[in-house]
Amino acid sequence: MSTQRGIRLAVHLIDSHFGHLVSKVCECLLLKGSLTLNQIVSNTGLPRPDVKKCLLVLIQHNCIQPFTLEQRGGFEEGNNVSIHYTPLFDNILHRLRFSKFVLLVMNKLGKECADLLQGLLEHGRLTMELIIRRAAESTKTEAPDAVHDAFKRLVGARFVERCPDSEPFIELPTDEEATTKNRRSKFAKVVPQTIEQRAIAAAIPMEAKRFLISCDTGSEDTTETDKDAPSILSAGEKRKRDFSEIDDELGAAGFQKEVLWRPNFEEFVRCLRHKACIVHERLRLDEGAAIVLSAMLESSRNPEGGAVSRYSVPMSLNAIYEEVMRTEVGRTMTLDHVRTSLDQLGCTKNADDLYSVDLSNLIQLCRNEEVESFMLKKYGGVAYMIFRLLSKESRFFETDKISQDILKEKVETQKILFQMWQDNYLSMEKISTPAPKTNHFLLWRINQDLVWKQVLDGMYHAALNLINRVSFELNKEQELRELPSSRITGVLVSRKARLLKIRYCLESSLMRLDDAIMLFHDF
Amino acid sequence: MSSATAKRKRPEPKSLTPPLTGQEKVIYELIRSRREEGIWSKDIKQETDIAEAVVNKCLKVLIVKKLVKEVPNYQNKGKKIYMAVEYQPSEALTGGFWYENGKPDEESIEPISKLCTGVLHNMGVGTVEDIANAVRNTRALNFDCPTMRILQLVKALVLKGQLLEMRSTGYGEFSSIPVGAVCYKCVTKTALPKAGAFASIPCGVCPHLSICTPDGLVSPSNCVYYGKWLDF
Ligand code: SF4
Repeated sequence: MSTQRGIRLAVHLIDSHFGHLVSKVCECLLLKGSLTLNQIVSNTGLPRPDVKKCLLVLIQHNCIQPFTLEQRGGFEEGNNVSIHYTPLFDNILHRLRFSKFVLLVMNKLGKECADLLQGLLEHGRLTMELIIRRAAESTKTEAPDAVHDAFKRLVGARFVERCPDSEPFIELPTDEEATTKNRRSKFAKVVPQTIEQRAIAAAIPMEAKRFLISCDTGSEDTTETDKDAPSILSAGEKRKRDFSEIDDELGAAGFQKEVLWRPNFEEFVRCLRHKACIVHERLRLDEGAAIVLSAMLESSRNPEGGAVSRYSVPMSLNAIYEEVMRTEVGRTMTLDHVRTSLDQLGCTKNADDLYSVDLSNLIQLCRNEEVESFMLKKYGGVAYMIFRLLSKESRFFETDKISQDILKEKVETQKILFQMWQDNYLSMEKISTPAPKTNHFLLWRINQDLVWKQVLDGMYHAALNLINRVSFELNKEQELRELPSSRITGVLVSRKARLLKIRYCLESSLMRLDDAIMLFHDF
Repeated sequence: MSSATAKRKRPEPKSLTPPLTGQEKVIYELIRSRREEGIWSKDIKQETDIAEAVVNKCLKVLIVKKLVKEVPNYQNKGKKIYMAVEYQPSEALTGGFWYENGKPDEESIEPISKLCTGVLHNMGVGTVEDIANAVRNTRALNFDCPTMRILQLVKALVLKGQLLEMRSTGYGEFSSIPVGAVCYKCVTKTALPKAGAFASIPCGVCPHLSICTPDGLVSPSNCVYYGKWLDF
């Protein structure tokens, strides 16, 4: 869900990290979707070599994914093949939260791993050799083994993965595929994947390879791989080899000869999502519920992978209990207490007596709370009650019914309903009873998806405002910031302290707001 | 709790009726027969076949003699409804049990809601029946307050974020409550709605968000709300 304001935020991030040219190319892609090199050149009006350089930077930093697309040619012509570049909006926004990723790794795997990750985040993608050499140099350590070990732990925990295929081949669907797809989508309402989604999915290495550290130090001869596994090459891949010269134009985006590694954002999102659920349940329920939930989430991995799964992996009561016992606070919990917490969390039991928790439901609770608090601040207590009443059931409520349920005056209720409706948070329907005794009724409803989208859009804008205000405050005090600390005396001391406070206030608000953006966009 | 107890006195039968003329008596009996629903003046005329002027005169007399009262109708302010003084207007006329003349009766709602929260706080977790019984046991109310009405208050408290609605699991704190029954619990201080990230910054509720741009007339650098917020 990349809205206009989301795009503006993403472009700003790219602009401040990589400069104006790169951000121009990125903006063009974010606004238009995937484009070929020629299309980007004509859309941006930038010289071709500049565009190529910008694309390389964006690829290096995992902000775009190239793919080769097969398209039907004209009459009596063969099919065309062209390379497209698709923007990765989510990855661009992740740049805002690198510090969170580092902190997460620091807490889970320790400082060495966090340092390695920091380097990788700064460089986007690197070979294992480079990662290790860079870390060894920066820490002046003589023990590359320890660094190697840290790298292994990062990959083992899936925080780092092999880079996706540099240029997956998206072939035309065969006639048979096309007809089955049509039939399926008609009856089962399967949302068809876009070409970009197909390309991104196709680029991800197979599960077994994605986290595989080969024994050598990082170079992989592709021809060797071909020899090793000729049978698993699809027709499409073979064809891709034939067309790979097209990509020579862009050099680095061509066939990778070395194994490159990059941060696995999916895993970070998964962990932060779990963390958000645990923190929320600790506040909503109690410490016991938080420990049980944490035990269910931390000890198991969803076999399907992916950052966002609806349910946690089913676990037996005993397995959960064992996991709970491993924590210090959990040791005081009885089996009965664990069972109560499972119930409070709304866990369901399957036919094999295995428990799982509906994570989407927990996320929905978090989202509702964020929006409720927004309604309370923006429109006051009555709106807060109205919003809670209407969001419980997705149906229309009549004005009288609303005012009676919240025990408020009808006129006041109606006034607030109108305000919320004007700001697009509610939908309204007028109905009239037939003549002669014509009565008019107003019915109100919340369209949850629309509200969430609107709130998220506002949050993108607010995040950009916070970032702009930080730069404004820093620029204002540029001279002060450049002064050596020995010359900061008298009134300058308090000015510096004030600047620090302002910066802290703005940046911590931005991080909290970013948590909320993730809640609505990534979780 | 004096205001709570003052609400809705029980109807007391009138034993001493002042002397009335024949027509006054007919009209009075008709009005009384309609109890808490009351009757519209036009309907009186139609049902008794007495001329409008006479009906109006009789009504005036009945009001002076304190036998009949005029009650407001929140649905239709211009429609005059008459009721025998011993009855309280029905919900159709007031807008609901907790309403008076279409306005929420804050003097009753506030103290009784507090009473509900208080008794629930003492019992930990309880169903609406538990709450209603406990409220009745305090003997603070001198009017019939059915459980259904207490439920209305409790539900409003849930919407206010002061009570939590949950289902009993049958053990632990729910051991005395049948499994699956809806029950309520007071919200602890920590669980009270915390200000969300968006609501805590000026832009979250700013009316100018849509026109605020870095180089615009309204911008984050010249923003007055930010000025106030960052006034350290
Ligand atoms: S920066 Fe100021 S004016 Fe702009 S949206 Fe935020 S609060 Fe409003």
